[in-house]
Amino acid sequence: MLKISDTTFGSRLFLGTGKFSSAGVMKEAMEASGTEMITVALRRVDLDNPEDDIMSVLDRQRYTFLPNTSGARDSKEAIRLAHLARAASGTPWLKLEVTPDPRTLLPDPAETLIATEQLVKEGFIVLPYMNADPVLALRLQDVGAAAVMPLGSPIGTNQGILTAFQVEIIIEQARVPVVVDAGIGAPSHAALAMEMGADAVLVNTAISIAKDPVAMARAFGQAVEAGRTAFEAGMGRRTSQASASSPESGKLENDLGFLN
Amino acid sequence: MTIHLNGKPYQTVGSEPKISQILNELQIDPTSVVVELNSGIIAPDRFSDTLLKQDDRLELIRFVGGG
Repeated sequence: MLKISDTTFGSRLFLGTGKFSSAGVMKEAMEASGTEMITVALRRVDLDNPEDDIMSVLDRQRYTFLPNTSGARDSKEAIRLAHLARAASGTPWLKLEVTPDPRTLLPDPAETLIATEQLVKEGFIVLPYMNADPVLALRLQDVGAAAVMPLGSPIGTNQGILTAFQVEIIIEQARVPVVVDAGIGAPSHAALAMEMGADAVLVNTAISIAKDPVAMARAFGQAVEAGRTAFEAGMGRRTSQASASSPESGKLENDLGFLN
Repeated sequence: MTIHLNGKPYQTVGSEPKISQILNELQIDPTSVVVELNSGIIAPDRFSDTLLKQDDRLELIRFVGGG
């Protein structure tokens, strides 16, 4: 079982709630995925649609809500959003995102570290979104991050785990759970992250913009389970030298001698 | 009286209205929003006794879909 802070999760797939075509599709996709942790963002109320409230359609008993600080460009803005998130959710869970450049949406490591340290002191359960930097992962862990969330590739790009080499080091070194976040565009990407030993993955765009988001959510749930099971089963080492899978002994002699 | 509501000028119905009155005017369920007044969070139990003044900056925030 995955354990973050003092909470255990039966599913290792976290789901983002952005870009779904309707609340109904989103709810069905959440159910099909098996997720127990969902992310939400904070925005100004749309005064032209005052009744448009995502929380009214989500089951707060069933899912752990992980509010994010998307939109924050520095630690100050992230901390302000964190306070609003805690006031709105009533829980200390927080996905910390500090992305100064809207073109790349890459996280600012220095500001993320500053905000993590501050928010942990204030009692938040902080899961920082970070570039796949093993040194930064250790620094975030040292200041009290409850998990680290290295990116596979930039948000919404569907490019998969382009950072595999660094993510492997992060997984090897981390004492806190590693949640691979961002860029996961296909179930195979999620399975790869899990086979590498990631504790969980967070997927949003790949599911919400699929032609059939509910079926895609199911596929991701299956891929995450398959990848985790493979990791726990223990995968063979990669080699460059071939190694026969059929027996070397007892081959037929004489006329089938070419089998030697 | 004019306040800044979610970054835009907003003409209130009366002078020095309470936060709860503004939410009512806008038909917003008070339990569905977080309210920030001049960058400080206002607890829900203060909505009905917090008076707004000219040029106050009021932010009404809620959760939306996001990753």
